[in-house]
Amino acid sequence: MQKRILLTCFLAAFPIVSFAAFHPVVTVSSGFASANVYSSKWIMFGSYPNSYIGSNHYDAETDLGLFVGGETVFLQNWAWQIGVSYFENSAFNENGNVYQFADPAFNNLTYQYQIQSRRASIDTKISHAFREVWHPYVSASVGAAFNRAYAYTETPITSADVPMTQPFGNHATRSLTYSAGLGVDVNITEHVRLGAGYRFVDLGNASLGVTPLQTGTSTISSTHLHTNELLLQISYVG
Amino acid sequence: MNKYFQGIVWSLLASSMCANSWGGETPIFLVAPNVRPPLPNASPAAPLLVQGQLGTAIYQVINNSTRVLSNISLVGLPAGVTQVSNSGPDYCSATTALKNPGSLCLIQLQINTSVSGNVSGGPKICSDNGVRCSQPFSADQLLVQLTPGPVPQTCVGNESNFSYELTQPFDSSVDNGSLLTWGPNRNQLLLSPSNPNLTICTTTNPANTTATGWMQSRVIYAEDYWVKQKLNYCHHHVTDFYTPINSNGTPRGSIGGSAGGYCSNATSLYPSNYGQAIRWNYSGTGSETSNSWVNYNRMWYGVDCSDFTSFVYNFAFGIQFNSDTGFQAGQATDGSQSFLIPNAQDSTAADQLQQFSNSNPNSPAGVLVCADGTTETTTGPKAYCGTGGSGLCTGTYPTRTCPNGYISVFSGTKYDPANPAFHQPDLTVTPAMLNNLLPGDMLYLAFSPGSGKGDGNNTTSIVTHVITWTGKKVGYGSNDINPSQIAPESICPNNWQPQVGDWVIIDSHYQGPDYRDFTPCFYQNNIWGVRRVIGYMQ
Repeated sequence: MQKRILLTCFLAAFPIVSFAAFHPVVTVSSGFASANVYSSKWIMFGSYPNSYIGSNHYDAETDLGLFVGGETVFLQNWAWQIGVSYFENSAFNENGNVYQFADPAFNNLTYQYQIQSRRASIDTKISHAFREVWHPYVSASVGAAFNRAYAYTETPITSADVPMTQPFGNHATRSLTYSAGLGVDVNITEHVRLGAGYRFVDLGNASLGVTPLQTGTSTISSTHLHTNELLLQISYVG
Repeated sequence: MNKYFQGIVWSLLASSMCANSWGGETPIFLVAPNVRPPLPNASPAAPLLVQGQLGTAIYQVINNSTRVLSNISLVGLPAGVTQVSNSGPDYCSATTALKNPGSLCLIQLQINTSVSGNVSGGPKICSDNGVRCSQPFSADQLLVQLTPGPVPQTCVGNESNFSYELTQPFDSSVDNGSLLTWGPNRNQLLLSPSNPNLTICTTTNPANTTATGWMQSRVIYAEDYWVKQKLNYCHHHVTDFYTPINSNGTPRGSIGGSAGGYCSNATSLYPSNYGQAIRWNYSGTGSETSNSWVNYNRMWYGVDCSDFTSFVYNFAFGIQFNSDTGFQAGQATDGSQSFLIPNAQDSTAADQLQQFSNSNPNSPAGVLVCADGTTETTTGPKAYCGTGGSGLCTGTYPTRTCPNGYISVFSGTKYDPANPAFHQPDLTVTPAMLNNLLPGDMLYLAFSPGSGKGDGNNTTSIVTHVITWTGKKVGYGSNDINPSQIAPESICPNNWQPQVGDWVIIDSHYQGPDYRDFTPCFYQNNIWGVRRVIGYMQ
């Protein structure tokens, strides 16, 4: 999957960077993404539901991405970048409590699972040069997120409690993703820039698979998963 | 169990029903051991299972969900562990028996020790095909440590091997009419016939000291095994029967102290010393809590004093004798000899205690032990201590002449056959007599629990209690009983505390079968007589 996404990025970027007015740009970004992770659900098992009460929390994980595109100058000192990007984060941890029978008196287990998001987007950035060195910018993107929820486990509250025998399965969800950000790049050499920025990213939805033990197909999901990211960037501008 | 001893009103009723101690956490099922496999830290000795032996564990399971459950099953049993059926009245015929809120039953597990490594974990039981599951608390989960085989084939190597006995049902399928009160009768258990063959280890020849020594060790191991199960004192014949919530029309909490199904509700007499609310040696963790004892049925399993001795001799050897205290002691089962004492026997048949019979499971337990350390002569129609019939009383009350050759605090000279009641102790059981006792000997006490006179000033010769002589003393040696194992007792509450060097007995009263200090008060000052099974019965 990852190779396929990178190939798509390269092919999409090729006609852009080959356009005469554009200078090719390649940017590698790395930083931290803090996600708001929360999920709650009632799921039926036999005659009774269990409720899964997610812990509404932020989880910060590393984020890594690659942008390939082109930059052109317009007006005086303004620049516009457009291209494609691929980003992925280390897995976010979601956890909460299982109320068996949806009854708080039977708060017998905690649950955990992981969410990893991979995004392929069309990215754009507009910057303004100061003193020919500083390039404050705003950015935005829109694309597709492939959010994988996996590794569901339950942990007993006491030694007398036992997890369900067949956990919820792994599942990947494709969602619309978009972002908006701002930051600043600085020239290091004629062709190399370092930058730092912030961006808000809506990752879309992430859902676990079902377990054969349940009644129906409802499952635990995190809707409108979003992150606040702080990124460092290094760019090559041809 | 004699009705007089049953009449004890235990002080300090159980504390009020406790709130759930787990807060918002409530196991779907409560799974607690009724019979544990041999414990790794068991003492005396550590009867770990040898690869090749069969292990047995019995667990009580309660539907604690407050809901009707479906698709209930055991899941993920450790390798080598299987559920086996048991026809006893309290065992699950199927796990559907647990579907209703509060329903409970016993499950019996067999452990095949041919597996490698130790057997540990579970048993886990689930509803809804494996969604909502529970298991015992960690301290109560299956744990069997295995040692390499083969299984020893010698008698000495199997003194504490009860694997074969534990595979046999304890409960007789024959209902003698007491199933709704005292529970099922004891099933006739058998010694292992092969691998190892233990049927060759017993004897009915008291001169065969090798075999009698083996039997003495084995019966104490058997009692130790059941002491460690932490049962209660109950009017039951077997250990795996609990008094139903409604016992033959009576709420079990209202059963009188002399009735079948009664269980002691004695809270700790010594909270300042022990701190445990219920059963003095409960750990306070896992299933050993006051909540478990009171609210989750644990206090409704147990046996009384004479059912304990008859259960244990059946468990250790398959030897059966009467479980009524007085009848076990040798008094006639028609009630006509309820006041008769060993030293008062004379040439009249009505004044002679009964003799044991191997063919009668309701006979007395073995022979009476004489003050000189010998046992009564049982040849001929009369049994007596001494020689040539000299052990019997002659003459007419109040001028009777009695040799008083039995170990007893009751002399025959003050016994009036025409008016036998209210006979008071007037002899002393000396340390020399005690030195002649052997492990497994059963000491019968005549004592009126309601008199409050456990100091030897009681007013009756009615047999009300039986204890087992261990031949061990309080101490810290390998063959001693550590003071921490000595249980309190309620008859002489200021005198039970163990002192190093005191003799140790095992009996069931107060909060169930336990090691106790052989105190003058209650025990030594109230001895009616002593019986010996080993070397005589089979």
